Amino acid sequence: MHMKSDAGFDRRAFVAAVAAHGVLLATATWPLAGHASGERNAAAFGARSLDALYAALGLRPGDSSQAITLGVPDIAENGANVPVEIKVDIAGTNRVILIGEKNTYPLLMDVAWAAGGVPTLDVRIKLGESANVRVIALAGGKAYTTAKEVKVTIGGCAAG
Amino acid sequence: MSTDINLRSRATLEGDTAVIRALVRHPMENGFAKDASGALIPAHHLTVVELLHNGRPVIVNHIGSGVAKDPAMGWRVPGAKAGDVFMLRLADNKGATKSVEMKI
Repeated sequence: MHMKSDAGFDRRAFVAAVAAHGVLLATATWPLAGHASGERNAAAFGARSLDALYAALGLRPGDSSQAITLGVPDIAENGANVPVEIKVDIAGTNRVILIGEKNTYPLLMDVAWAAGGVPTLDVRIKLGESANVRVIALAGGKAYTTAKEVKVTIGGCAAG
Repeated sequence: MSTDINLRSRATLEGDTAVIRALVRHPMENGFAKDASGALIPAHHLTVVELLHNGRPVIVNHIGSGVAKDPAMGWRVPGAKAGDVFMLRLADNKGATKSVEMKI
């Protein structure tokens, strides 16, 4: 889906609000790299392979980091509803990307924080089969990553 | 079809950190599932959830169809105090929207 279908509220007002507050513009990757005003990266959300996803995002996972806490179950009985808890302890983190590596559409979430935010996120995801769940955190223009395997006993019903 | 999205949300204060929780009633269909007659169910999922603190956008969540049905999400926002206003703004791929304000 392109931006128009996403724009349930006034993007221009949003951009104006951001400009008025100024503070968001001070962060290096805000607007999200390559996407003015934090617009949805439709190509990344439509990517069907990890290579296509990383190409669309314009980044690679980066160095593995212990400073990213990724809480997922080792075994998920129901792939349609897998709890994920993310916490990033890397100063200056302003974007976190959540990926299900074997999903039809691997990109699950792409989240941006204003300066001074606490990059934590709780969410529930779908996994079509046993797979790595990966988090990529961006801080100071550098990518850090961690991944954990979740074994799925019942698939997420054509999870995407 | 309704252009509204069913959202329940809560903002609480832990010290100077606001804890925001949202529960959205949404099918999060990815376009691959089939109904009882075998026909594909069209994609229908949230695309964005924005969180504003006293009018300032602090978190923008772009969301794909791989997030589970009836999404439950949570975030923490530092530098909050009693009386602050948080706003959640949601939109999906069919143009439905929702926004709600919460005072803590």
